[in-house]
Amino acid sequence: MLNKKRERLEVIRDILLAVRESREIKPTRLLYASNLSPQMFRDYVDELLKKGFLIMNTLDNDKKTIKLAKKGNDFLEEYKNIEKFVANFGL
Amino acid sequence: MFLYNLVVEHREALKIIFSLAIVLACFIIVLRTHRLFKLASHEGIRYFRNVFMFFGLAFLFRYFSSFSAYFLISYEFFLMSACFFLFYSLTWKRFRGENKTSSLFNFRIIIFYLMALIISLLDFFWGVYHFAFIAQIIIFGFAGGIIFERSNSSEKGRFLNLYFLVISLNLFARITNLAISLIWHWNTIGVIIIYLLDAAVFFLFLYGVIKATKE
Repeated sequence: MLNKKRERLEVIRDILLAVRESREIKPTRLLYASNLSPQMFRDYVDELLKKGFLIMNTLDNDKKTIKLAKKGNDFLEEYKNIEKFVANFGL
Repeated sequence: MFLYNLVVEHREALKIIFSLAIVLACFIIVLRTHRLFKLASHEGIRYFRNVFMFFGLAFLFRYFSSFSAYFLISYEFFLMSACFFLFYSLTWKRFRGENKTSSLFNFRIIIFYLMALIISLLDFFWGVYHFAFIAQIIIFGFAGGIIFERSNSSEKGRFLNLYFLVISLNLFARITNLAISLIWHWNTIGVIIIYLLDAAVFFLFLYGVIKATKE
């Protein structure tokens, strides 16, 4: 069965949820969890880092991990309202 | 009869109260939707927010128009821009490419501003409101059609039905407006009915936004 193409907001929610569930996650693991192509994943993560939804940490051994920022958590808390608003006003 | 006399006697004061009440309703809607837009960066929410920013500005200039008739150009310009933004908030997905720059100054929006400016200047120089009424009837007609189609195909159709009702009420108000200006020559009772319809539309919008953004 074919799945409906995810809307932008759903993709963001899925990425943030994957980060929240792991508390701290490596970019490669997040790529698998997000179910996106590498290029799209990079675009989304760059945007979420720029907007302050995610925080990138670099460890001593140069490895990177991603954590959820407060703004990202706020988005997840408000996600239902945002989804409802978009559906209610046909946006 | 007593109520009618009271309204006629205080019509100028009531017009000011009406304009300021609508400005306040729009201000609350803009604040609520801006908060959602900041979180979601959703283009539809962005344009929906702009609708009420322009409606708010329009009614603010309508208040100023009691001091000078020239403010009527600004009133109509912002009113028509708000209508175009409302239409665009429903159709932005159909246009290719996401706008990552400004939602107030980009090529598509400048076309809307130009059309709004032409309509407001035509009305001003002819000394009528017909061009704006006809343009609004066309815009709300199309917007109503889009919402009706979406409410039938969506699982969450109930709220969209309310939105459809609000747009239909707005459409009805503009048709009545046109009829009153053309046929009944701004009959007082007709004008009162239009004010009541407009107030109902904005407060239904406010109710809908507060309900949908309930914290």
